[in-house]
Amino acid sequence: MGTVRLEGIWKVYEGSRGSGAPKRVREPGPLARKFTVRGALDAVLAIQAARSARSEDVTALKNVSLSVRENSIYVIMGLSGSGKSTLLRCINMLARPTKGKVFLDDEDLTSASEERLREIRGPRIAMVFQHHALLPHRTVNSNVAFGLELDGMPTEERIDLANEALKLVQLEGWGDRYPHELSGGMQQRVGLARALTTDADVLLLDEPFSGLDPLTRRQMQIHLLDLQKRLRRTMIFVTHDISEAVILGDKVMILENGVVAQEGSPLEIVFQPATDYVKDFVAEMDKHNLLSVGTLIDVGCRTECSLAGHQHDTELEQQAAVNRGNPDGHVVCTGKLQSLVQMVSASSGSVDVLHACGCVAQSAVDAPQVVEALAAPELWNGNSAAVVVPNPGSV
Amino acid sequence: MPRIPVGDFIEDVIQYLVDFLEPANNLFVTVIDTSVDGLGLIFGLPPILIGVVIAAAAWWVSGVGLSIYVVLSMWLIGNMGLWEKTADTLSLLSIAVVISLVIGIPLGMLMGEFDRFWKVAEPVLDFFQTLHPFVYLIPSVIAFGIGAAPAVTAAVLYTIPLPIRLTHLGIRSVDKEVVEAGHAFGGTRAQILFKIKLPLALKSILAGMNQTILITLSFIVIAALIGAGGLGENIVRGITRLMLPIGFEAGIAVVLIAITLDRLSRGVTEQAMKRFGELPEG
Repeated sequence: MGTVRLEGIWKVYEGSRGSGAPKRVREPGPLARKFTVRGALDAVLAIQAARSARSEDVTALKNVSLSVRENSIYVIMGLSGSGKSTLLRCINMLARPTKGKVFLDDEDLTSASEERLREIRGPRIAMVFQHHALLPHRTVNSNVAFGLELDGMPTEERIDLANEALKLVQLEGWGDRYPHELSGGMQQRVGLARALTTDADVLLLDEPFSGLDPLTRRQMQIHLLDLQKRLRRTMIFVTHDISEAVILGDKVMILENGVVAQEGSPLEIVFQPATDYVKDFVAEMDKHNLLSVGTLIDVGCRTECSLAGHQHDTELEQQAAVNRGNPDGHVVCTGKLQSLVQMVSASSGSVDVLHACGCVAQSAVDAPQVVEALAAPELWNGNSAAVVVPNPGSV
Repeated sequence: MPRIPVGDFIEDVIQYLVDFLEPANNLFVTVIDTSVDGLGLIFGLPPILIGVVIAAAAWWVSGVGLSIYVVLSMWLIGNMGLWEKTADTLSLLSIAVVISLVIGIPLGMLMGEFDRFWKVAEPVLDFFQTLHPFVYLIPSVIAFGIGAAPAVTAAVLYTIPLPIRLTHLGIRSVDKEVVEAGHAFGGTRAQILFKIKLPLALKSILAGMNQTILITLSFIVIAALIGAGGLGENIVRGITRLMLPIGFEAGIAVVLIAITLDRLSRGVTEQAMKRFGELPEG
């Protein structure tokens, strides 16, 4: 339960002057060219262009397809105006696709009635918003229970469920406070709890951490990974932050002006950018947070792992070189695993994020825990793993 | 160029409306007069009793300061011998305000929900709000003669754009993301209106109530021109006979009531916000 599939989604917003065919900018005739002062001509052209642009429809999404496996985190990333929020809203039909189909576990939502959609929204698909979207006049508890209340659940039952959800997001005992009494990160955790109470198998997260300060954002990312490890939901996460996308995503899609620029595992995005646009993104990425902070080891997969320019212990570089020499290896050999384990053990302090693509995504606080996770290959039978170990200098 | 008979045309329209509504007219007049009389009975209670009640209410919604102010201003009004006139004004005011709010707030809600309705209504509201208050008196007299009913009708027509506008504004200004959250969790239109939009619009709606009360008060004073009675009667007498003391005493009484009502309704707003509405940030 909880697979999401979008097929050929188009979303066109009608222009302010109705839905007529877009007008072409009229080129000035030869006489106009001859007799018009250059500046005036430019001005006329600019006005015409502006008029024509205003009357044109805006195409937010152009033939976007995607498929999200259940219990995985799928990240949609793009700049503002790339259509990522619209795409997210197509999944629960808050934005109706102009063309294309949306499937939730093989049910076509584009042909579902409004009533059926209301049944799905909440119990099947829940949502977390950028600015938390809590009701300021209700207590935290009543906010968390809001989805259940709309669903008609009796008060006592829903308050119990809300308290459980608050426990999950580590806000036990805050139920009687009001949202404004909480910090930004806590408010967002309330938003998360509200989405968790309905027990939906699909969570849509619309830039939930982008309003938070960097430190809180980091904590929230770890918190989310931790929750995901326990709860196993299908999450579709929208962000404009490539680092966040790479840390959280099992799969990342990069959207550019309503078109899919690239879709792939985080490592593929980082090391095999498909277009210049994606390349720019990756270049913009603060690799100090992701790679230079620690080390990225790419185990037995074809990904080119560039470690140049970093100061690491030579053992790791050697390891990376070995991996590169083994382009088709899908089996994680003992040696590599051991070296990973050694590296983690050697870091002695805390390990920030362990992210093993394709299967287990986990944040581990203690090195021994990471070692334990790594030592159980069945947990990460995917073909790649990335470990981010804090740089001693940055801690 | 022949003269366009705008006035005659409007007269025809109004006359038609009056004829059309003739059967309802008497009923309306009776209802209004009865209500005014009913309220008159309440305000006819000993002023001391009323003073105590209002002062207590003031204490509850605002504090001891307002309570003292109420006692002092009521004492001054009584001392000037204007309590009965004040009671008449307050009766008319209460009825006009209640009608205005009871009709205006739901209309504002509808307009907040249905944009087309708002687009049609907005120019009408503009017209009603900018038309001079005196002008309302004429058709009201044609319809209902003189007395309380035309005064209340004209007052409602003149003030009703306020609750409509501010309710509409409040509902429209609700954070879009919060409304979207309502949809995202499967809320019906009614659930979203009553559980999200209205509580968040409460502040604006109550501001509309406050404005309605104050504007109605000023209008009820003017309505003395068509025999509405109350403090306005003294002011009109002061003007027509150039009797400065009478006019000023009544004027001051109006100011005293206006301040009381304003502070009281603000206090109510604060209390309501604490209980049901959006809490202040901080």
